[in-house]
Amino acid sequence: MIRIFLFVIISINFGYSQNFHSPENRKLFADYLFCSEDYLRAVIEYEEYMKYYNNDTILFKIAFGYSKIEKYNRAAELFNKISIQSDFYYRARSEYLKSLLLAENFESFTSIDSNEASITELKLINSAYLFNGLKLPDKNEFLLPFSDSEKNEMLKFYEFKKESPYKSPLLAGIFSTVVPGSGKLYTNQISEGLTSLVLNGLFAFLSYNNFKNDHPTRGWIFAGVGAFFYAGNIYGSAVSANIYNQRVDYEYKENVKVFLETHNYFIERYEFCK
Amino acid sequence: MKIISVLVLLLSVYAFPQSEKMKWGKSDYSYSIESTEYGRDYSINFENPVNAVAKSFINAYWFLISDLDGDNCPFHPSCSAFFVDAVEESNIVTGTLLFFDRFTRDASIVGRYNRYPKHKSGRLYDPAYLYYPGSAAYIPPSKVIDKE
Repeated sequence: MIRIFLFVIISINFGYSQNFHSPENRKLFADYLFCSEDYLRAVIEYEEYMKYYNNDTILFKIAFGYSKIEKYNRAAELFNKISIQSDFYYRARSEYLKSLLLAENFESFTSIDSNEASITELKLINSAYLFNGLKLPDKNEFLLPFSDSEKNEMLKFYEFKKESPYKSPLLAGIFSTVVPGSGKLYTNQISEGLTSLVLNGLFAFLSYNNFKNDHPTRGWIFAGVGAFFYAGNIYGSAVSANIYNQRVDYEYKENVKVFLETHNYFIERYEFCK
Repeated sequence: MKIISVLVLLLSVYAFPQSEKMKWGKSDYSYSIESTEYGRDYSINFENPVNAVAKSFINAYWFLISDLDGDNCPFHPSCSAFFVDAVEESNIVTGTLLFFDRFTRDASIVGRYNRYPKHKSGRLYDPAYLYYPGSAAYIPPSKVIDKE
């Protein structure tokens, strides 16, 4: 019994002689979390480690972790802190631009000097033109940094951005003024357009039929309700064109994002966890 | 002696638990289903007489017709609530035009479940603010809206 008691006491003492919260052990734990793709906890552990040691690799991993957990502004801020002496400097610059893209912070791209940019950075800078409202550069200049396999897709995005297939709200309104519902058909709202045509036709017929059969009160009621449907449809068609244009923009941006994501934003993948 | 050993062992475990256990522990989870029924606001704002008249009509419709007819509108907010919002947030003319356009959308039953985002109540999310002239907005149908 004494042996068991001693074993327990010794085990406890041995257990507590290990400092699990030392910076080195925190780093080991953080590496494990990072490689398990538990970036949120890995970032917290790495930040604890950084209180004791300054390390560019760890700073890069923290920024990378923030990017993975979609805190892009914080990630960009940290990538920007990596010094030019670091081995990670050029990677960090690319990751910085990627974070700006993901944070939709397109204004920051205007202050970047593209003369000093690497090919990857140029690709990211040019990709930003596909999102922001700035004037697109010349087609050849835009496509220059991209490889042959990327050019085709980027050219499609470029041309789509240059001449987006928008619908005119004015034209949609005019169409619906001439033929009720046709403005909605113009904006691809087929079902709503046909419903509007039927409703307007129905109220016009009811009004006409009541006037014809000497029921002017009912005739005016149907005419009044029909007029509201008619005016509402003109207004709705114009708004529908606006919404259509926003949908075009949304789907275009989603397609660009998917393309960039599948190409990992033109950045080579890292092997931190072999 | 056996008891003392066990006590020492247990006490040492309970005396020095990992602090992370608290930090990363499971959160309490409620399995109760959240109610998606929203009460109606019958109040009338008399600052704008035109809006007050419109709201009075809607209140009468809610009290005399809608509550008896049942909860049938496929949209959130319902057509009558849409009208109230549209009039309050814009003006009576724009609000009325928006309402009749919404009514046409309500009558258009083909394919609408693929066109609108879904509200957490299970209805189609189609609020008035998406249709104002300067601020018309598109929400993809795949989205589920979690707010009232």
